[in-house]
Amino acid sequence: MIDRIQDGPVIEAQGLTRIHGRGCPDCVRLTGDVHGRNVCPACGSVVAVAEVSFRLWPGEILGVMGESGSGKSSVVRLLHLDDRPSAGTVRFRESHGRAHDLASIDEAEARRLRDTRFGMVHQNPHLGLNFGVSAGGNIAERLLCCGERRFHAIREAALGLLDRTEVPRARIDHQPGQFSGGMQQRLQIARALAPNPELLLLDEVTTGLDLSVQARILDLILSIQRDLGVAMVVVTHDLGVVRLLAGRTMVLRHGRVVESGLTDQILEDPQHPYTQQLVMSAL
Amino acid sequence: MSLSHPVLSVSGLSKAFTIHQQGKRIPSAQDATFAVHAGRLTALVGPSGAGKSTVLKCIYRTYLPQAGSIILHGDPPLDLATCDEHAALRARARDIAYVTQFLHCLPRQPTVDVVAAPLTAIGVPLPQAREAARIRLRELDLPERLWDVAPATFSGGERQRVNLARGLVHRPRLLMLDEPTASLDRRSADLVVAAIRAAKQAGVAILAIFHDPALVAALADDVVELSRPAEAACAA
Ligand SMILES: Nc1ncnc2c1ncn2[C@@H]1O[C@H](COP(=O)(O)OP(=O)(O)OP(=O)(O)O)[C@@H](O)[C@H]1O
Ligand SMILES: Nc1ncnc2c1ncn2[C@@H]1O[C@H](COP(=O)(O)OP(=O)(O)OP(=O)(O)O)[C@@H](O)[C@H]1O
Ligand SMILES: [Mg+2]
Ligand SMILES: [Mg+2]
Ligand SMILES: [Zn+2]
Repeated sequence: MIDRIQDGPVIEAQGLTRIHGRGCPDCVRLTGDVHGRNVCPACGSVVAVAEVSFRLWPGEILGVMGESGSGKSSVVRLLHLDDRPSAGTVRFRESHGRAHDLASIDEAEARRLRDTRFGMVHQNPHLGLNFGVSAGGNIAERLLCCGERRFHAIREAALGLLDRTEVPRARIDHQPGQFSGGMQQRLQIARALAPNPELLLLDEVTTGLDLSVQARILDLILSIQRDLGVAMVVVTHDLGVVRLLAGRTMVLRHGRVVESGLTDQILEDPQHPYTQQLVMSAL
Repeated sequence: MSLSHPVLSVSGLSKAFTIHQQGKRIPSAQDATFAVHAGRLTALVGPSGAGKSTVLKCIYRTYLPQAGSIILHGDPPLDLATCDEHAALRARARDIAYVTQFLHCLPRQPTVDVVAAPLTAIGVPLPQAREAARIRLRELDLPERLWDVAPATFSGGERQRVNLARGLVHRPRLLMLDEPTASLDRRSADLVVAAIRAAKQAGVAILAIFHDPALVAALADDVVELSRPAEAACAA
């Protein structure tokens, strides 16, 4: 919700950098869009992301676009504390005001944030769901992490989340392996929403699904934004997805932000040669 | 009218597009300067390609201008040419409505919710937002049987009335119209014109492009002429 902007950003990332490998003093200088590569020629390290800065406000959906290997998932993994940056800071502010620097947080606190404040939805449902337990069990796991112990409350909350994500209640005891691709993604979203998170990270959630199945998931994401006002980062290489979902969009290439702005500006008046090419080729 | 104050002041606004792949620079709007006042309608006129639509898109921040200022008056005033993205989004949400010939809305959304969307976006609860939307739709005489249908299949006239209802629902201070009556039949056009008059009466500042000079004569309080950018400027 636009009016919550004055609360201040949920996420404030500054100079986020992640280098895989031993690294050298020239890794960042010798890679990036101007050099057309993300592998350091001096030491062979992979500069997955470098000098990425952005803010995310309550209720906002930020689109992250870019070709394969541009660093989109790396950014999300850093936000979700699945990985730690080589340099830079990420400030996460909980709604009641407590702020954390995610770059230097300890593992116990990281787990608490992952379990209770963040929700993550992966392109690959095998990464986001536990295929060994039922749909209800997948949601219950998350609720248990938040300290809920009452069986009935858990069952009720799980049913509510299945309704919310349009997974038929009758499927609550089925395992995700029996679900269609679209339904697996909706279950992932239900699971991600269970703790009532303040930050929802969605990495290519519609990629590879039929168009009508995609449409239903996109509608679901919009209704979540409208009703819950949770801040989201939506990673995609699909211009149509950012057009529909994201108020602002950030374009990555070789680990760098080449352009960011209001989504309609990025699509109708792209400034960077790469963004222009991206937009042209989608027409 | 001495009561009317400027809502928007545009000064020295210029925009050119650089197409990197072709090494081309396309001048679009050049040195546009004008103001839009509360309760008045400013018409942008000029030949095709003069940059009329471009000026509206720069004000809305869909296009990034090269030069000039776009001051949305208020406390504090906001320069839409240079302000940060959140300030621009907030101005869109609260102060500015932009209506084109095309209805930009979410697919699959019922009309009443399309119209209510600007209100829910600023935190108005859905039932109240829908009620306000119904009032607007009734004013614009959109048949009630269409309210729960998505506008995808509507006629041009119906769609344009939905568009305008949505533009007006959150009572913006500035309403921008890009050929709002283009390709409408007489009755639809009359309804749209009546809605524009009512908005003006209610104190909305309106910046409009009309293809029909008769509409400019009938509705405009101020006329701003844009000329096509000089050909000489076309060399990159
Ligand atoms: N653990 C790792 N070790 C080495 N290199 C890695 C590692 N993780 C990611 N990379 C590299 O970092 C770069 C960015 O990867 P990332 O997964 O963020 O890309 P992406 O934009 O999400 O791509 P895709 O669209 O294919 O998912 C790639 O070159 C990738 O090979
Ligand atoms: N996104 C864009 N990319 C490149 N050039 C553009 C873009 N938008 C507008 N232009 C160019 O800018 C110039 C002015 O266009 P604009 O649409 O603003 O004119 P207009 O005065 O509204 O014309 P009309 O009366 O035909 O609608 C034209 O040469 C147009 O091709
Ligand atoms: Mg990825
Ligand atoms: Mg035009
Ligand atoms: Zn190196």
